[in-house]
Amino acid sequence: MLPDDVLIQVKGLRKYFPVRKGMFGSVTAHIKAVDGVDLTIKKGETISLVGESGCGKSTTGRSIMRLIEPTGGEVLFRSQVLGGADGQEAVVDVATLSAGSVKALRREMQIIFQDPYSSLDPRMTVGELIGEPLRVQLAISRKERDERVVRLLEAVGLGADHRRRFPHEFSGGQRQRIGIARALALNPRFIVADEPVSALDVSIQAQVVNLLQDLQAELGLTYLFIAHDLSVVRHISDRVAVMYLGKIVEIADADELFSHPRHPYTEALLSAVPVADPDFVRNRIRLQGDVPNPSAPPSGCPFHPRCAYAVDRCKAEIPSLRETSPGHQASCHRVEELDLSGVDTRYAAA
Amino acid sequence: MNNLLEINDLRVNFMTESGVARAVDGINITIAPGRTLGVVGESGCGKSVTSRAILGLVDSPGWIESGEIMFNSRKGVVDLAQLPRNGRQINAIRGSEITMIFQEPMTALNPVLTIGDQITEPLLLHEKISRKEAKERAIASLAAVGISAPRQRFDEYAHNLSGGMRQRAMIAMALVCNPSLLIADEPTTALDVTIQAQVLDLMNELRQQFAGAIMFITHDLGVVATMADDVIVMYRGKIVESASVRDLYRNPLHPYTQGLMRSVPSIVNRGETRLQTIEGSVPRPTEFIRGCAFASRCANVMPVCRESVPALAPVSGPHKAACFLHHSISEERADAA
Repeated sequence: MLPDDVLIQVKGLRKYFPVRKGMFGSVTAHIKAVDGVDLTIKKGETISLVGESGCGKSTTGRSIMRLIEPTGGEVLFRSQVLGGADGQEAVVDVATLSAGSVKALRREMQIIFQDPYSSLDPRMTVGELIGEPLRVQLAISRKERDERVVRLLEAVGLGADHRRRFPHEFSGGQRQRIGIARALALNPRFIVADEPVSALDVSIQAQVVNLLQDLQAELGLTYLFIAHDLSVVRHISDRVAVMYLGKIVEIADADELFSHPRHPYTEALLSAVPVADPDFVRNRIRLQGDVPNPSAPPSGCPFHPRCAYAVDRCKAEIPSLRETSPGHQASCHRVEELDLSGVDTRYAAA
Repeated sequence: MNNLLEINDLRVNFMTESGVARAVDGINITIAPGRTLGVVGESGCGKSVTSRAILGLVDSPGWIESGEIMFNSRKGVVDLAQLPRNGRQINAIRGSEITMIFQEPMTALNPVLTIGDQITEPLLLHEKISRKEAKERAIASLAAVGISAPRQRFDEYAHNLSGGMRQRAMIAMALVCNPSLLIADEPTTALDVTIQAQVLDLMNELRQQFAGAIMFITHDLGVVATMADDVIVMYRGKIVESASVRDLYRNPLHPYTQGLMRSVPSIVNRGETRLQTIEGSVPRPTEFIRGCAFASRCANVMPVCRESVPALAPVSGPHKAACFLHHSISEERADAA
């Protein structure tokens, strides 16, 4: 049911948060944080979700992990742990699995969080932090566990002598390495990296990006990379999906998306990134206003109030994600007629 | 004094559990009227402490150890480093002649006062004008920063505004008294990229109109390139390079600046498969380092770098670097001269 090279297929994923009002907390509306997301993740690739705050990128990542309960949709995952005894893989729907199966699935799906200051328990030593998933999931001896902790620390560029220390004794970059070692402890195949380098200084950010790429090459990991920094996204991704108000508005190979965006929102996002070159002549598409309130999204295309190319049709009809060239999809009524500029054309003109 | 601000050999220390941290360790900065100075560096390099020292906001456990902060105020040149904390003189300058925009508009704005109350506050405090005049000036200031329906916004609270609008309100508040120096400390870091672009465009437009100088503190090399005339790069309490923005980006001299620029991936082309990195991390602020503080991470380190501290000295014209690759002037020799 899943093509051989596909690890995860997300179909119509939805997550609605109720808005409660009044003394008895009656539900007056829903915030559609994720509203019908379809996403195919191939084995061994890095796919990035980008967008501004509140677009639903983190909620999508967490719903796929089942860290939060999705409202609807399917998350098909090719699992080894839940497969047959003969090592056969089974395709399971993560969205409807029992709690026990989800726990078992944690051996294959892990997450790296943004803030290494708040995601590590300050009262546990580094050895305990990295050993915890091993203790919970695997029946192995203490000695074996300790050996694996040392190997993991070395894999992320830390030393065996670090395991008796506490998180506060480490810098931000080192803490993020500890978070990565903890996520890798159970040998997962799929990792959601939710803004893993956003809280780090520039020089440290590059070290962690390199580490993530080295580990991927070594261990054959598949990444869902959630980020708002488009330069890092271009560097690390094979494919990129752009989200706006809970929906994917464009998805393509990274180079294609950055050089030939087909959705006006992608074009505006790309043109907003400050370029580290004082001679760069800015031809910026200035977006008016803010992201609309997700509990009362605009009619028609959710981007139309801010879109420079909007026509009457955009106010009335919701566009669907359509293929514009092989592997490139965008949801815009005017996708055929618009000639949008990417970062390469922008640079050549300067 | 022709300059608006001259900082001479400023040192700011903090007492910590593990000893004295030299947050700002002997820096010299000059800002001419109307110029925008970008201050770049990573966490803990001393860029924010410098701005707090200018405003007289260094609190215990920190103190200004030595140095001068000469400011050309409306009442003549004063040394801000010598003014008593919360004295009448600094209070007359802060919020009127020198103002500040902070990173987090939600924590910097008062949640229980209206936007209008907060913008009129500095006017009523620093200028002898009526409430009615103050209100008109505040509304004009809100309109100038692109807030729609400013009369209505005047009576609203910070929580009624979006992140970008709050940052605009804070800019309105900072500019309402026509300061001669505006300090912007990471003003767009907390904003989304399209909103950041709006705020940067606004600041660039206001820069044309408003004759004052701006000190723009950021860690984002892209933001500095679009905003600054001159740039200083700080590392562990010291200025390691200072240049015009064009010289700095065309020809970075200090290995730290070069490393920073190489470690940022480019949005324009994918480039190499691996990012260049600066190995290691910044030494702890309380650690005593003999020689150049960057030596332990520097790819071009020489024996002299571990012996003495390089002075920030001119390399070509006004382009200065504190690095023995470019000159042999150490801080001790500079002091003796």
